[in-house]
Amino acid sequence: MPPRKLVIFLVVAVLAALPFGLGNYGYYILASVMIYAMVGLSLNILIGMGGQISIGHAGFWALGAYASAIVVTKAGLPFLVGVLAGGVVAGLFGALVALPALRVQGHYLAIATLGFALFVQQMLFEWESFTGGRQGLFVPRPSLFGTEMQSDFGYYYVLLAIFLLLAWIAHNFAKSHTGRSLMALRMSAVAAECCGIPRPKHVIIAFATSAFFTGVSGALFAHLLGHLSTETFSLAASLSFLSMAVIGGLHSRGGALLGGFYLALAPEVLREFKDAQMVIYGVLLILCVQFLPGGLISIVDVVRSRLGRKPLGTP
Amino acid sequence: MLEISALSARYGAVTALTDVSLSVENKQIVSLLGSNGAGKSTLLGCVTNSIPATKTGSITLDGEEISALPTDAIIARGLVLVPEGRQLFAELTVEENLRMGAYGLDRGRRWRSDLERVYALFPKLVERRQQIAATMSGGEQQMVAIGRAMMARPRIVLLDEPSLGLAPLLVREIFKLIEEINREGVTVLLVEQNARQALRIAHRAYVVEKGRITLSGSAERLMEEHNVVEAYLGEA
Repeated sequence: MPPRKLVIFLVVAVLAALPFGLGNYGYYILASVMIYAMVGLSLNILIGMGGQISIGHAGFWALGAYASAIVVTKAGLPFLVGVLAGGVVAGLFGALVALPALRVQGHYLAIATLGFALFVQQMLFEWESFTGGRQGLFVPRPSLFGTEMQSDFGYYYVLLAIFLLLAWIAHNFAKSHTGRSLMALRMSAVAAECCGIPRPKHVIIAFATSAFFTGVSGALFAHLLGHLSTETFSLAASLSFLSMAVIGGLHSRGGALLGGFYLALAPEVLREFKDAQMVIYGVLLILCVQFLPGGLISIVDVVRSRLGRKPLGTP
Repeated sequence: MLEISALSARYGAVTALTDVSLSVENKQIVSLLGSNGAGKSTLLGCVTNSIPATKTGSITLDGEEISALPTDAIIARGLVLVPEGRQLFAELTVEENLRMGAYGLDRGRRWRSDLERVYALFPKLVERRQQIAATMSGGEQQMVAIGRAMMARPRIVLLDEPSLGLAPLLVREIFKLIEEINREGVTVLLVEQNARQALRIAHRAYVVEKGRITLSGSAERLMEEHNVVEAYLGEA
């Protein structure tokens, strides 16, 4: 077996073995790891491959969550249809958000995406008849083939499977003609356009795909939580996603997974520190950008380069 | 081959080009001279439709209107821009940069023979094929930029200030290369501040000032024209 496949096999085996010996709370944390890691994949595509920034991903996450909740509760459709609907709704909005991204970059794009997330949050809050507004929305437990999954133990494996599927899609996207074109645009938009790569098309694809991933994650999250309220989808969530992606590593699927672990576990580990937590997050982020710009996954690269292998975490 | 007529362009309220008409005959080298901010790059950007300017007028390539086409469609019709300041993929090798030039063509087929053709044209690049583009000198980078454009099998190339920031000796070399690709049958529209060199290799030339064409004619005539000499050749 080639080393790369062996590593993936081992990682999947470890992920599959993780829940054993844990309690309900442990299952819940592991489930959130998978859900966050999916957002990590979406940022791997948007930022890592496309070089576009977004601090509005909580908006796509919210759209996915509410879309799925509404499809399942109000239209009575199955759980997986709801999840898909969450992805599609978020993806469509992603294509829409890409339009300002065609005109602005950097800080301005950050502000535009931030505005989008605030708009989504406010809209969900005000549109009471549909979203429950202040009261929020109850979301049924996930169910597969007619049986409801009462425990997060089983749900974790569903999430793991979906994460692996999305990671596989993201990996192939990176190797596809579209993915390569996107990376060329990230390296130099002018050079890429001179080679005949249409920028608008690729920026829209990047945003839509990224938003789709995040929407699916949001939908799965809704069914994990069981109850939605708009506070969950605040600016803080967008910023957590961004720092998770940076700390895990923006340029690989492995980095997305590590980011997921970071975002789900850090609050548990740092619980003792109470209000000082935010300071610690900030310092961690700065340290990471300063000393480990490739993210946690690049630690693996250091080991690999000792073994004379090609790096994973760098673009 | 390339006909620009009554082209005007503006960025918001700022007018960059006024009523510009220009034609490039098949297999010729046409130079467009002008100082900084005269509107030279805007003109090229209008032709390739790669700048956010509002424009009126007509741009035709072999009689076909191209002013509304997206950039990639224009490149696919054989009009390729070598942008100002080379604009290479800095992190990629010379060969990878060249291969990127073939992006718009049918995938994975004839790029190998095109690559050999470019190496034959620029033998200096052969030994540098694995070098990272960013680590090369300005002149070498310009060669890669032109080579990359050649990979797209252009019928006409638009060169935006290829001599920018190059030592005089290298400028001479780059201009020699431009003559060479022209001899291969590629039409050239050359935008330059270095008027003396640009006129030396051109068949025809235009002078643009403050967004208007103020002078045009054969390169020899412009060379003799008192104004041009005074304005652009002064100390060069």
